[in-house]
Amino acid sequence: MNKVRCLLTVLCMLFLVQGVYAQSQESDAAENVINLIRMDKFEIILPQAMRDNNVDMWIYVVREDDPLRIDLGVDDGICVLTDRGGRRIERAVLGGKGDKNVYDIFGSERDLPEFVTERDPKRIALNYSEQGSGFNTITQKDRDKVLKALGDKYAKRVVPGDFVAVDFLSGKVMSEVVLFTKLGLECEKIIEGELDKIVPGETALKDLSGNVFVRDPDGNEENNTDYVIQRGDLIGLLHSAELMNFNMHIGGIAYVLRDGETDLPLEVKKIWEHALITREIFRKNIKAGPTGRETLELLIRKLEEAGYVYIDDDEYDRNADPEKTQVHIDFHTMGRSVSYEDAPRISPLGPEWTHDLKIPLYHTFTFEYMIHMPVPEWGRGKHLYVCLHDGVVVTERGVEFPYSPLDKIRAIR
Amino acid sequence: MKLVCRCLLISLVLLVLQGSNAQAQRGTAATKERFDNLLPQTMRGNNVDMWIHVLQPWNPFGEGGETDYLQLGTDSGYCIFTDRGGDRIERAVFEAYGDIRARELYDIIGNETDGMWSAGSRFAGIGEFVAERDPRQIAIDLGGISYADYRRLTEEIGEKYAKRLTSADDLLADFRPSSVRREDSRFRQPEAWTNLIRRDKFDFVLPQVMRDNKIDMWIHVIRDWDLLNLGTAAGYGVFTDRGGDRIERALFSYNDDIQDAGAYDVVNVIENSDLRFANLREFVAKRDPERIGVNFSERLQFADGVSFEDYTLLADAIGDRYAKRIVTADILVTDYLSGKVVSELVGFGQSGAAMAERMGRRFEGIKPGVTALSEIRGNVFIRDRDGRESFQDDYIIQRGDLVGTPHASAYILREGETELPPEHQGLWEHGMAVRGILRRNIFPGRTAKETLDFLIGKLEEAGYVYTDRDRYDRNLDPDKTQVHLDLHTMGVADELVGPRISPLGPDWVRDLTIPLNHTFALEYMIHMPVPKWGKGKHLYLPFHDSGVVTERGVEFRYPPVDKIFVIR
Repeated sequence: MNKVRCLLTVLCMLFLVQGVYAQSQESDAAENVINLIRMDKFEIILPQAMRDNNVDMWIYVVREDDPLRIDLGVDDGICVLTDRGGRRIERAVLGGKGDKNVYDIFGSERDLPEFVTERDPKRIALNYSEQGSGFNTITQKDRDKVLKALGDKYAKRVVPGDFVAVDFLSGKVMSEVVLFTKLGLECEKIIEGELDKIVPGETALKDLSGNVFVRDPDGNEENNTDYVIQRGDLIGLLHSAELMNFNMHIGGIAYVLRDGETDLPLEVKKIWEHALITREIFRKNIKAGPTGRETLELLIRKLEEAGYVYIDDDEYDRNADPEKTQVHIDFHTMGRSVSYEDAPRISPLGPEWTHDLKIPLYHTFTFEYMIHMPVPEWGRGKHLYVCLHDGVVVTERGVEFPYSPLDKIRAIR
Repeated sequence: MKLVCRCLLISLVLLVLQGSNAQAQRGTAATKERFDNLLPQTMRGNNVDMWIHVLQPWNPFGEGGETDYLQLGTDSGYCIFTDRGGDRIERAVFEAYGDIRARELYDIIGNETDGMWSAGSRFAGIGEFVAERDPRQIAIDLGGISYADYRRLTEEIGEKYAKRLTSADDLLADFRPSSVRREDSRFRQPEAWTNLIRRDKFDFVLPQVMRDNKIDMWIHVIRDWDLLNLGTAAGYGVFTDRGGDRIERALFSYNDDIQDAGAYDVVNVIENSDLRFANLREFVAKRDPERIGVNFSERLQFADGVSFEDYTLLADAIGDRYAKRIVTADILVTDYLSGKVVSELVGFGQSGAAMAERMGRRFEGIKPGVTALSEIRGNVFIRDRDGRESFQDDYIIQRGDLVGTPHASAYILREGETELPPEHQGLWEHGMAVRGILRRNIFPGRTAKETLDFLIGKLEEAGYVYTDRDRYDRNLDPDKTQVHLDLHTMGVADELVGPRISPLGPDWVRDLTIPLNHTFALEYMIHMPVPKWGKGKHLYLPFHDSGVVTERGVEFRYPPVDKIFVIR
């Protein structure tokens, strides 16, 4: 018996060691991906982001909890990026440790005045913002310290660095698109698993993981509450997946069949058709180059030409034409944990300044839109509601799906 | 209890080890049985004394991907079976390009290596072979052999024997394994193709490639293991440029098992496959195309799909007026496969990432002085200081060796060493410098040849010598490091589809233009002289990472190899 126990113990140990080993390999692989993304962004995105913003030096003081710590590859210190001509930006870290594969120069914080004078930049971006963006990350103490170190001549040349940060994060390299997809597929799997758990009449919204909601025909919403899912409900579920500084969330939709139903009822099929028609309108009309605002205006026009009513709020408008289906749009950026709010956004939501940002090439964002379809036979103002939320990429050719978008409303028996 | 546990463990290990091997052996044994017992009676019963069965020119799906529903023990090439009397049929296989799974079944194995590149000579020498055997009736699968192959074959065997060709339909019906149909192999398409990829390629790539090739109707007849995967096992697609930003897509399927009918504007299920092109005359006439591309090709074997029988029926169905407008669609097929949509990029990117993760692990078990190259999985080699290569053989790995695979290399530390010696470190740095040059200088829009010339210039500016062979050239400047390039396509059927920035391969692949999102291998080899070891002595390091050409240059989708692995 003892020998059997020994054998089992050895086997358990082997499994444990194997598990730890596999986990460490997985985390190495994740780190390698993040390192590649960082290197490629410095190589490919950074020069363009600095030149587009007419900045020839970008000083970023990184402290322990800075949201760009992983993106910049610096734990604590002053990151000084200088455009000295050519295709590459010179990269220095003063007073801290940085990714050796990315940075050319390592020095002390005390070197800053001499370092800047030697390079004589015309416009110096610093990590603060005048418009309340999330990139207002430098502390007052650090800001005073940097300005003092620069001296009057160069302190006068300092401008907010938030736009450089926005462009640096929004411009995507190919490895980011691959990671974006990987996370999207993970979300998809989780969503399927959550929807599998639904037992009509028993499962409450709060029993499911993610952002789970149901709206009744009057538009009243239950969201992650005690509400128990009933037959005839149309359920939306958004879920996220993360890897270090990357984050992604997408959505799924399920209809709970009523007793006797074997397929989606006609009105649910119809709202799905609207979802597909509008998806095509969005795909055909979004390109890299125009701003979020310009794109939104174009999409509103195209929706109206196709017979839809655009709505600014995600609520059914009882004053709008009762024959027409209403569509709300919030195409926000997606991929990184830090820049949901501070990036190009094709939406009536979010800070105004984000609507004026141009859609960059390989912009990764969400096709988040909501369809409110009137169902006149249920009574005045009664309607059905679905929310779609898929990840997409803007390429030279338009909008492409990196993985299969939601392709149906799932029927739950 | 102990005994039971031990037995269970041993059985499990043995089962895992033996499973795949046993399956392959069972397949070979079954084929041998059919060759020995069924083949003579089948050929004689059908009054045939020679049977030529032409397979794919190469196996685009790699090791283990069976391409032939007849299970002849090879995945490419062509087999010639001759009844020369006696109990046995003579079995020969030619041009199989390393895809023969059961060599012991064949009496003659000819020209294994060069076939894929020399489309014109695929059947070279066969005339003599046939004449020597002087068959009275030669069976050939007219529904399987491509139109271009049939023309080449008849040219090679000459009029005398071409007249003796007869349909192998009855012979095939008698000889095929009872449970297998041709359609079964057609269903097994590359899994990487999803409905999304198909639809996006129709939307984004198809209009451009049809217009680039000045083809306003493209008829693609599906063959076994078709690289395009139109979403049905048997049938054909008809794509018509009727103006606008979209190409009309019609699918004529011989069965109703269509993967994604929604991708098509017109879907026809043809009940009687004997009348498969019957309705096409009206369809074509209504669209009145000027140039009709069909998938036959003398030079691009992967684009050579339509069978002799199908071509004949098709030409007859659309009538003389339109048959005269038929041209090869080979470059269109290449362009269509090479033009990548984002879902393809990330799909292949993810499988590449998994491979990259495994790269270093294959070196983990190496024990210097004990492990032979043949014990390490995959394509493993060592080149000595004179450039002599040991490849997957019994060579025992020694300390100081640099063990290479196409994707990563490992150095075995000598006693007392704790890190890479300076010359190996220098070799790695050259590898990185060359990677930088390649990444910065490849863009869409140029041909592969123009790009190769440009890269050679850039390498030379940086102090390197370009070599057009993967060997150290002793006649070149002994102070300079030599670089060989083979930046071939990666994705569908790797080296074969699309522009190749390389001195290798046929000339036409260098004349192709590099498309946006071209996925390819950054395959290059560094030969670095080490003068202190003596004249001509050098170190060798190969690279094989996957890149994508975007408007910004070459980007990686997953981490490329980032070091020479070190084995203690």
